[in-house]
Amino acid sequence: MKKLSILIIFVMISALLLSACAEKEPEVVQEETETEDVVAEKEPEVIKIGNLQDESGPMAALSGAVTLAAEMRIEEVNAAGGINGRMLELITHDTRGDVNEAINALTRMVVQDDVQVVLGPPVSNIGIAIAPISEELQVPIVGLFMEDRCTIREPGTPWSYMFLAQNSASRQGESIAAYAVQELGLTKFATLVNTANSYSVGLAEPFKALVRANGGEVVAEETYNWEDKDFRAQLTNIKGTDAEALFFPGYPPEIPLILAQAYELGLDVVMLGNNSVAPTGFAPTTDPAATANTFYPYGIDSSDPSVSDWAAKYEARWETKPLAQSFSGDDAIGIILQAIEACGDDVTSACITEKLNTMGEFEGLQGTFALDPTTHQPIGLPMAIFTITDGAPVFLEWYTPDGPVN
Amino acid sequence: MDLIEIFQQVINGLSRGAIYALIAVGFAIIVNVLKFSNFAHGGVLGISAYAGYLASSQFNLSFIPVVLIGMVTGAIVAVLVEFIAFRWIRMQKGQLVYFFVTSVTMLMLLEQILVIRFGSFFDTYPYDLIKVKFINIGELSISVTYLISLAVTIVAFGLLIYVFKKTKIGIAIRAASNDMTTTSLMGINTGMVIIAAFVVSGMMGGISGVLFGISTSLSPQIGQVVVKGFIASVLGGLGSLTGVAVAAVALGLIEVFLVSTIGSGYSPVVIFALMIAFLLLRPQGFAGVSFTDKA
Repeated sequence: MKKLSILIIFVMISALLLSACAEKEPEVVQEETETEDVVAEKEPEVIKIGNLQDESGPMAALSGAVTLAAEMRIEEVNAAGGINGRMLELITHDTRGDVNEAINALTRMVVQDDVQVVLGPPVSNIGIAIAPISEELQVPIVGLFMEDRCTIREPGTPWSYMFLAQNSASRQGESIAAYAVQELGLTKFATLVNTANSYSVGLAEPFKALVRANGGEVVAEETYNWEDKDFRAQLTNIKGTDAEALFFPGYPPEIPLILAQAYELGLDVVMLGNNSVAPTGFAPTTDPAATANTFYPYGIDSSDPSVSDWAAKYEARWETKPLAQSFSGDDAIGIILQAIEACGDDVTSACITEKLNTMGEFEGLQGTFALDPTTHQPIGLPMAIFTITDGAPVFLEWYTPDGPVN
Repeated sequence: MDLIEIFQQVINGLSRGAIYALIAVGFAIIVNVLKFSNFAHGGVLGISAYAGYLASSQFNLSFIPVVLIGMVTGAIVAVLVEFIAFRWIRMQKGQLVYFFVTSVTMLMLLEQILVIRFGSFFDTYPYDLIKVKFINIGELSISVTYLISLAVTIVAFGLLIYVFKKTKIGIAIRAASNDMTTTSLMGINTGMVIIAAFVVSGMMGGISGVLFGISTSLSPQIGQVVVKGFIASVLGGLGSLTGVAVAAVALGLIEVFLVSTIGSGYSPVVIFALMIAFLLLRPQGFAGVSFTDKA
């Protein structure tokens, strides 16, 4: 019996060790270009920037894109001499896609690593969870968490330290709804929403509100959960309605399945997605036939020369194509660096927060924008509406909830 | 819900249930022989699903070779699991709870191996592995992926029944599942019988992994679908693989109808409530004997 217990303990320890091996290093420290023989006291103190990302969980691909964009930007800045003569250091902690892990990681990076500002994840559930923690820690977080509750405490009052570096979920949902109603002439819609994902819900509610405000009708509201992979029951229900379009806001793992299963069921409606369609909707493993008649909003126009140049540089550096989160991630770190630069020698959380609150225009890949002090979200950024033709994305036009941008 | 829609949902439910049946039967074989719930079967399913994925995406193999590779991988991994995790406990005549705990640990271990190799994001089989995606019969649309799954399930189940009824090793497995000690006293090598049971179980896990992966997507946690096999084996009852298969198909149908009527949020709650109620009324399952030995 003793031997048996030892065997069981051995197997469990093996599993734990392998589990540990599977995780990425909890801290990825950006190497500095300075040589070690430079005496520490002569060198200005490095500026530490926290990077709170899902490095090994279900959203690792999207979070990883943010990290790569941030690392590339910091490499460039350090190579050019840093900011005000000080080098930058990116300290990455892994949330593993888990809310509790994210809170612990944020606390660790602020308390132990002494970071003054944090680059946040593209995951709204985590954004909502860390918003009150950022108040306690008094550290500014600039991220890509799109659901309104991540940045807005209550109408008219933002969370003091939470800042969004791309369009919010509500603006995204309203923009694609406005496009569908005004440009595609659609009036009857169905929705398929992950009710466990605040981002998905945060897109769907404004979408439905704008449709109804424009005289449209939501004829079916279907739901799913994180673990669902078979959407045929919901899609069959939708097929039984007179819906002309299906809005299916979600994360990349679900999107190709919904597209493929809708196609297999012969659901012949306009498919309206969100900005996560981009990295998956035309992925090599998605049948191009299943993505026909699909429209989705995106943060950038990838055919714009400045954007495509940056994309080429990114691809050359990392040997992988940029995702939507790469572009917005570059803007997020750019906003942080602009605030740090404005602080001069006083690179503290308090100063960076103040500079973010009073930030002027920022010129990024998504366009030129400022942050609204009442929402901490970008002001006036339009959404690029794309469709998919023969499996490839095609830019159509810039759009806002109020209509097309000329 | 009109008649066409009901038919479409029945097809959806049968298709889902067919894959559940493959998972459940593979799961139930070990439950029958060794009297414990082998959650490592989910790990076998996951490794096989990824083996099929590599065969199709890296080597451009077609559907049938991919399924065969999944089957063979499943058999090999299942036997390895038996050697590494269960054999010693069995030789020490360990309690059932040790088998149960070790099987859960092996599921975690196999999942982590997949995380190390493939990362934690999702993958999908090449979309052109099955050329024709659906066929229309009147207003009904039937997914070819699921139709193939249904056909493969029927063939695999037919072969399984043949092996269990007509071959010596199948009869030996059935005898061992009834009473291991007596089977041993009759001169049957029970060690070989157990390996054979893991081979058959692993092959079923391999097929179900590949088919589930093709019809949905792949992630290292794909093996957690083994819970469906657990539910079906409890509902179906010990001693009857047919009962387990029927329970699995019923589970698929019930899930689809619950999702289409009350939504996906309440569906799992109702499923587990039904399971508890069913066990209170008929603890031996649809067609089995007592489940009290089950760990």
